[in-house]
Amino acid sequence: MVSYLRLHFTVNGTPQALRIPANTLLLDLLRDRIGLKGAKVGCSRGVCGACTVLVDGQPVAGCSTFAFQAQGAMVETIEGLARDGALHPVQQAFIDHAALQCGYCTAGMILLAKALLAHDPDPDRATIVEWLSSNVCRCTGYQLIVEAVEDAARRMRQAAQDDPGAEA
Amino acid sequence: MKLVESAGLIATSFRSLPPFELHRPAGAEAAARLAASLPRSAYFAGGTDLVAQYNEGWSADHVIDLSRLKFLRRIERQCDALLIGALVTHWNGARSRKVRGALPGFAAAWARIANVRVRMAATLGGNLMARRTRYESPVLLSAAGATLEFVTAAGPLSMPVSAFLASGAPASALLESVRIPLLPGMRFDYERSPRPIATQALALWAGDEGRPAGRVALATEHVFPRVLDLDLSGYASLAEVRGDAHTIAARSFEALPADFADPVTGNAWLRRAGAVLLSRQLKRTAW
Amino acid sequence: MNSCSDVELRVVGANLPRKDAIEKVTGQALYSTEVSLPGMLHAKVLRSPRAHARIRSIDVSAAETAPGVHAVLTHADIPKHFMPVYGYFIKDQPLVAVDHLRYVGDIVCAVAAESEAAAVEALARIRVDYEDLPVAASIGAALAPEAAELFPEAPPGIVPAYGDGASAILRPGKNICYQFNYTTGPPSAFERCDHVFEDTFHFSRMHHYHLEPFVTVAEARADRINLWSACQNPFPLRKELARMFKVPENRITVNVPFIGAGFGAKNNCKTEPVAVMLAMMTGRPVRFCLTMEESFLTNTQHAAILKLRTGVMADGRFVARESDIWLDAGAYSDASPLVAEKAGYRIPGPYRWKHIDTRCYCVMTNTSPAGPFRGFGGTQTTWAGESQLDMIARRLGIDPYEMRLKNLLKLGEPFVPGESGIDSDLKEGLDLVAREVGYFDYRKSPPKPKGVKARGVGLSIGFKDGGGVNKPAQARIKVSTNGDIYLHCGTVEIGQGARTALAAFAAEILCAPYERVSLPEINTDYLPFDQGTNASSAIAVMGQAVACAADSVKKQVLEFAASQLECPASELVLDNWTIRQGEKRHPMVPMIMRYYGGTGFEFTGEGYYKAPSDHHAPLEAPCVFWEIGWGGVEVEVDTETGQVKILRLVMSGDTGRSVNPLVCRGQEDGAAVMGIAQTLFERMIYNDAGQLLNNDPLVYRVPLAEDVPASFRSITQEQGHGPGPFGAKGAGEATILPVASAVANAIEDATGARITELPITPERVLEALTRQQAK
Ligand SMILES: Cc1cc2nc3c(=O)[nH]c(=O)nc-3n(C[C@H](O)[C@H](O)[C@H](O)COP(=O)(O)OP(=O)(O)OC[C@H]3O[C@@H](n4cnc5c(N)ncnc54)[C@H](O)[C@@H]3O)c2cc1C
Ligand code: FES
Ligand code: FES
Repeated sequence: MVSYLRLHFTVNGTPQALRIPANTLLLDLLRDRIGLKGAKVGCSRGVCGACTVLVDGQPVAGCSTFAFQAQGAMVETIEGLARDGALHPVQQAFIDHAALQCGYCTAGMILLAKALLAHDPDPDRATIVEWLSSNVCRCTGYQLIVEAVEDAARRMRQAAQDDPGAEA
Repeated sequence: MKLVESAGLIATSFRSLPPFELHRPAGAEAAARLAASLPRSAYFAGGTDLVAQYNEGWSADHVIDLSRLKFLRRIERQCDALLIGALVTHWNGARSRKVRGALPGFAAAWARIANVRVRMAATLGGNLMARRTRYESPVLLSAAGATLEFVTAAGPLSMPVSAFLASGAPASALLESVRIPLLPGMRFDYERSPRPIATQALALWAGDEGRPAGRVALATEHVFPRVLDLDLSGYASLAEVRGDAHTIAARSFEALPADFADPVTGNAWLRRAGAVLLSRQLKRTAW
Repeated sequence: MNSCSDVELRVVGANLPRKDAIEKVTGQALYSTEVSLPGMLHAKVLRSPRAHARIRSIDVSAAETAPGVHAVLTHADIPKHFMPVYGYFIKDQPLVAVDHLRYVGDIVCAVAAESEAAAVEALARIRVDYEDLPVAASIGAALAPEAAELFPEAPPGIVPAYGDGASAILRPGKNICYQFNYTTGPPSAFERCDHVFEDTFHFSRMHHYHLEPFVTVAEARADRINLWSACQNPFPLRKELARMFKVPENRITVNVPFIGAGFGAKNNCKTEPVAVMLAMMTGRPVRFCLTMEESFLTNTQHAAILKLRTGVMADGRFVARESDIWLDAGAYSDASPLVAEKAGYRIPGPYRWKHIDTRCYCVMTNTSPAGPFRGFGGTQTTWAGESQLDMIARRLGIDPYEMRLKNLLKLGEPFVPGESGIDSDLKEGLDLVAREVGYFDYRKSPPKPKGVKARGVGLSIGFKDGGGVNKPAQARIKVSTNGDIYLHCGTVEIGQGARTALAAFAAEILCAPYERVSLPEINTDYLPFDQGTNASSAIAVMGQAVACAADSVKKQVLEFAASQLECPASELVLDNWTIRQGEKRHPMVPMIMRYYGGTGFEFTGEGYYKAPSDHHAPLEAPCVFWEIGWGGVEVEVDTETGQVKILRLVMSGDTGRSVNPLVCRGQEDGAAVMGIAQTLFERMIYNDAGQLLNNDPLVYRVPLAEDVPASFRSITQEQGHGPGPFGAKGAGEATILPVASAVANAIEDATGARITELPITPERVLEALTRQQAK
């Protein structure tokens, strides 16, 4: 009784059309079929957020999202963030603040931060903490991650001021 | 983990999910009929609880995706009630002007459920229909005295939230919306600080002859909400209630059964701290 | 050594980007979960639903014929000449159960199939007939007279050599697999005490909650076993597998990609034995990846009961301490005997005594096996010792800060006879956190209670030895013709930043840019031996091996240059692959090509370090370094509900010298936040039937960003007394140690009520307040 569906969506800007069984998880589709392994398999339960990707800009847990839910959507993964060899400001801030240790939560945290900054380019610390509380980082104690996001927000606002035409 | 009685524990997850057939009905009645006709089917709203059910070993042959039922995403303010569609997400519901306008305390409470990522995907209907003690819509809606409106293959059905929590909904009933009565002067407060040990929600309104009336719902991570009606008959105004908050709270908690406790927290604390917190809730809400 | 230290440090102490940063922020870092081999099968196991049971019968025939199944593994399928049990000191954990199941989650049998779904289907068809046995799900239940033995027959085990005052016994009593004893000084010291206080403390257990699951991919091809595994100690793992499967060690290759954290859990056999056995049976690569629910059933921290009898003088001087510590080892010994050593040994804390007498017991219970966990016994002993110190101080009417000062060991003073000296100024750290948390201001003018909210401050000094016991480490450095540096060492990058720090040592000593150092992936065939990534040992132990290797290479390079330039090597300085001779500069590359030809050459240096063995040291070798965590906390207690709010939290460790300050801070932040969770809410909850009630990644609550107190600060001290290169010590465990006792001490300061059981829930606080008011 396997039911298949034809899925059309874009991943990091590239259109994809795939025939998939209905029970395909978005995370498995990305990792095993498309080969993007940056989203991690953590709790497989929607809790830790290591599998976070953005669907139409919204952070979702790939482990508890079926691929069919992404029909027609724009999916972004960590692999799509750097442009022309230049890191995204959030990525750079994570490096500069050593906001990662084992790195298993890092892709999810960075994408969460990206979604936050698109929603609110000038978040206060409480808002950053609220958003980052979506995902678990067992290593860092969160402080350096919060500081990295504060810094990334500053840099992105500065860049937007310097070059109002550039996309955030 | 899935327990197979004759075998043992098996660690299941979405990844070990057997194939299922996907259905995407366009109307509520069609969805309810479909669910009734298909054995081992599940409605799929945000999926944030279903993933837990699969990890606990449940599986489905048919998944009925509700995403086309746009009607279930609406929020409507009627003159005497607030109607919230089952597919309204925590994120949209708590931010909705209609909800915030009608019951700001309820919107504020709703805004604190789960986390940003989950709020954006998770729905009120899913939270309720999962029927888990640790989820918060049961306690919020119990205090609010809400009614649940279902669509079933046999027609519409409405049910007080208390009845639903006690015995569940009929198999394959589709939750369409949640109706919160907007009583005169209604206000709402939610005490979440001891979560996950316990939470409690308070609703106050003007009852007969404009006299204050209210109820509090108390739940723990492991026990469904217990509703205590506040006996405010001796008070003419909210100001009086506020002035006597301590006594009212203490008296109300006398009605808490001695077996209201869970594996983590005993009755004594729930009773004592609950009364203290209720008294504080009354002080900040009865104005 | 440290031949660069005369010049200013360029790399050590700078916040250079982590070696793994680019890979990790771009999603290119590969973990064992990403390993996939052609034809790979997937393993799943059937686990015991009962906490204690016997298998009357098992029928796997329906699983063997299920679609997609390649092998079903029961105990009967293991070749007779294998030794299918594992453990550190005691080999008691079977690869799959023989017929006795000892906890919920014990492995009954395993399946390898085309997919996880097929494996799950097959497992569900297996028929097992269980016969329940009496359950002992806690220390108390396991030691009760009526308790059933978890191990009616003694499993093979060893007691290592111990030095002065230390000893151990296997199976000293029912359901106790190991007992560690340590004693020093005359017991008569108790007779001279003005007061003797006896107090008992309870410590709850956490799960590591490493985000990357336990996962192994194994293949058995021809006469070789290759595995890719999330393992903190690949060399000891190789040895254990060689013993179990009767394979020479050089036919087993363990590869360790990046590890998604471990906190101690990923030591020794976890998913490896089942994966290897199934790979042998099927001739296909097998992947065995657990879910997080299964991780809860695989390894945990040790719950504990600690009874302290402490004798003091009226002025607050410590004299004698006797202690009994019961660790909940769970159903298999895993690393419990090692944790018992440490818990028993660390109970004196950083104080001076005339007499110590301690016994630590590993109690077998029908719960998940307990093993190494950040803090390794030190978390338990700090909870008890630092709590009791404040209790005694209050009973004697002495300020707890003053009482600490009276008893603290001095810099350089041996911990106990035969031990190395304390390598931090303990008072300096205490003063720092006391000042930062406002302790002295509180003492000058205690705050007035605000309605029902009471405020107080508390201090604590977490204490453990670091660097592992008797731990050897080896490293190799190769420098290519162009001056590119390869650092070969077996330290696993588990998030702690070890590879960043070790690369910094190499770059510093070789006077080369940090970017030039690269570290290959962990592979036990090519890399020099390492005992394991644990005990905060990377800096102080492996760091010394790396420094030694770097010095060796440097010496060779300078001698080579000296021979080419026909001058004494002492005239030459190596600087970014150029030889400086006074004002003159000689690039290395042409010099090498001239001598070795156009194909070039590599200089290779080996390094080795181990603390020398010494029979006078109680643990056979003096401690490499002391890992100290100072904590200061200000709390507000709601005296009506028992809720505790942390107003200020200051945690500090001493890294000796921070090789990379941000990386060090990350370690201390992370450890402290784990400590906050343990103090206030995080714990595994078992019922009497041995069922884990919160076996769910959501219901088992770990700290989120919003759980960190807004005022939290961790301050890294660099006191400069460490044994490692450039005065560095290890880091990463110190600040988990003092949190719980500092909070309990602050609560007592605020309210007079004392909590002796973790976690500090509102219910416990309210009960303690009620008891206090009744007094
Ligand atoms: C990390 C995390 C944190 C969380 N924290 C909180 C928290 O703090 N407080 C809290 O209250 N909850 C919390 N939750 C739970 C979350 O709120 C619920 O999972 C969510 O509300 C369920 O909604 P859903 O749309 O995802 O439901 P789904 O998973 O789609 O469905 C849940 C169940 O309801 C059924 N169902 C769904 N819609 C209908 C319908 N219209 N009619 C009939 N049946 C239906 C489904 O068949 C299924 O059985 C958390 C969850 C996660 C993953
Ligand atoms: S792996 Fe998806 S939320 Fe944890
Ligand atoms: S860096 Fe390890 S989980 Fe965040």
